Amino acid sequence: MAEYLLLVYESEDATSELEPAEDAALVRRFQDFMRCNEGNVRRGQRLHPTSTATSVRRDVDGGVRISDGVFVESKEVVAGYFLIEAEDLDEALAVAQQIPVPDGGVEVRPIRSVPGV
Amino acid sequence: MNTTVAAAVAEAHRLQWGFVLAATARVTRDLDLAEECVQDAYAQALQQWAEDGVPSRPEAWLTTVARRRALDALRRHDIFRGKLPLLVGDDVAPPADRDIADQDIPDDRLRLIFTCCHPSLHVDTRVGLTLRLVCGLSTAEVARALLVSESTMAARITRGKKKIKVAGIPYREPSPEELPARLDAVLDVVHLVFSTGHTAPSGERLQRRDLIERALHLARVLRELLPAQSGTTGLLALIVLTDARRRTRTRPDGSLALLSEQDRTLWHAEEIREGVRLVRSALRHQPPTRYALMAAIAAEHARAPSWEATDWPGIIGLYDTMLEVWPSPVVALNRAIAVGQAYGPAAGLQALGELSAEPQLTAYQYFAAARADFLRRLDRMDEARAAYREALARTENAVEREFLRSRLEELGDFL
Repeated sequence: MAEYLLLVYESEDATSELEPAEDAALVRRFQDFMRCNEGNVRRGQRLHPTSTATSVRRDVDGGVRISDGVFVESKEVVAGYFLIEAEDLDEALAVAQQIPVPDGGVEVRPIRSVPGV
Repeated sequence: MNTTVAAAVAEAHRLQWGFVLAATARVTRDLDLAEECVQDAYAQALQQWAEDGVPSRPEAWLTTVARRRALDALRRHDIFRGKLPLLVGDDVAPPADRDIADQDIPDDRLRLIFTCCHPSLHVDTRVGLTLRLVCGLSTAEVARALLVSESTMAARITRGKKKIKVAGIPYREPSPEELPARLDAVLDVVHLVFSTGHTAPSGERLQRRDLIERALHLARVLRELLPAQSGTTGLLALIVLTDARRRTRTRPDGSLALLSEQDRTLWHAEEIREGVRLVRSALRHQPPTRYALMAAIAAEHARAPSWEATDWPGIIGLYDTMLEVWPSPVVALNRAIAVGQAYGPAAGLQALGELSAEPQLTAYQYFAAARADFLRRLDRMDEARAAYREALARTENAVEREFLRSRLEELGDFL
């Protein structure tokens, strides 16, 4: 078994402007997804919009700079994540395909395992 | 004797490398270690076959030797391996010594091919890994074939192998449900190898025989291993039929000969017969696959007694079907060219005009070349010259450039 982090990318306008009823429907679809894949999914959550994000960087002179917003500006942003276990990449991709993403996609990243942990 | 042995080893390298590596990787669960062991086995063959004679089944001999070396290496390095990611698959596990006798070596080539052509790998990486691991080309040879520097290719192959291991791309044949989509990715890689050889993207020569023969071999292996898939039959047919015209694609001086002016008596009749048989078999599957349709079009050309006597309406019909299963601007361009042949240059030009909204297509060298040809035949010389100049600016193959330049000269334009 290997671990994968599934990063859910959304165009931010698409999710921040959802009507409450639409949002509730999306939440139900997430819950369905979690139920259908409980053998693989260890945890998963949606994130608040990027307007609430804060980035922490090292300065050139070694200090720390704190700034408002996402780390890298782009049209699509990380809107949620799932931590899953899967036999291999094909199984991880099969899970990723079922994530309800109205307007975006999923990045599948294998997690480095630390020997002995 | 030594030359016979060297030739036998070379042939086993060319035809069986993938078989031996695939079977060895199942034991090592590591592609680098498997490559090392297989390399050693071929080196040992040079010596031992000279003493004992060439074995009746060279691939079985090589696999047994490579797997023994792999087991030795695994025993020596057991301590380190616990920490390394290994190839994953349903039944990949080191077999015991008794299981690696020559008889009954499973054919694992499909595992290897599907792993190298996994959709999660970049398409250039898929081609590089396939040529290296399945065909046994050295990194330098793969780099030369794909016209990139050796260091670029080495980095690409290393990254690819690392991703296979770390991301857990399974060393396994896809399930029946996954097979059609996954097979398409494999066929595209083989076709890309073939078309790179058929018209080298740049350089002095139009064709690269080494790549064409690799692609032909891969297509035959796939057809042998997956005979029920019409895509594999279609791709093999397409390669056989296209390559049957190899003797006439350039004139004796190396310049480009158009299909319309090629001496059809020099085409390889036996290969065309084989290709046409394969097309018939591929077309039995409904709806037809993309490669079956491409092969059917190649078969129409191969069977036609002359350019003029080609069944152009039939070819247009095949392109129409192809646009349904595989809508692509390039297919639409080829259809427009066929329209021009069937119904005259004005009709062809109109069909091209309908495609001029496709940005991907108007930047394509063959679009400008096709327009130029229709304009020339309509005696619209100024526009024809401009179109030839545009095509020339977009073409990098020396033989194709020379052809376009000669057309411009015929129209009184000397660059």
